[in-house]
Amino acid sequence: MASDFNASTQQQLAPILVLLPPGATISVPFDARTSTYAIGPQINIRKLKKVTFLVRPALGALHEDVTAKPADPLTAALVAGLLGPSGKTSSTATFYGFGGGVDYFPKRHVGLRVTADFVHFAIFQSFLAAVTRYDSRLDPHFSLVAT
Amino acid sequence: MRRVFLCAVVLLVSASAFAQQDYVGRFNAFGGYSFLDSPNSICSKMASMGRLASTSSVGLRLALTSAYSLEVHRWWQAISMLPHSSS
Repeated sequence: MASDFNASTQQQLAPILVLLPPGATISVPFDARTSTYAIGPQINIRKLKKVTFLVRPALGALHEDVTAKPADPLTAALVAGLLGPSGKTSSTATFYGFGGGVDYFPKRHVGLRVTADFVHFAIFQSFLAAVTRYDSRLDPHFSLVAT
Repeated sequence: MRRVFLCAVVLLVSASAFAQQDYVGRFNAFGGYSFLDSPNSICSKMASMGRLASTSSVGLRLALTSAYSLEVHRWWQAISMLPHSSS
């Protein structure tokens, strides 16, 4: 298992990391707020009367604000060394992938949508290692539809 | 169990297979909300997410879609402190 931090971050935190036993893991609670914007074409497959299948590329951007909430002096020192005394950081990334789903319209103007998007994005590249900064997200959601 | 599932799918599909859609909206608006509470020993996450989306039909098969979602989550995750490996 590799470190979740990139090499430069490990160097930055080296004075603290040497105090930890080999293979140590720590837990840092944090609050995050993620805004996601997506736009693109969508192909609708209308073979059934009340059901529409849809496929689409997933293209967009996301912005994430994170506030670390260290619970003990060790994690507080790590967070301060990495993010500064505020413990806050943010990152913006573009993403790409694909998605699809189903619309079900029991009535003409009201329906239910179930979709899932599988996307790749690179976020917080300034301190996360490459092995962890590329993430994939399955994003299923149910929506009420008005048409 | 698998046969029952397949039969259910066939029945559902056959009921409407010969009934094409007689109405296609030009503009659809979507709203959704989700809440996740996932306690775990490695990664605990509590999240709520709101989503707004719209779809404008260009034709029967093609549409332009746009979406905005806001997710607020509180979680903690175990972070590995081992030296970084490029493999």
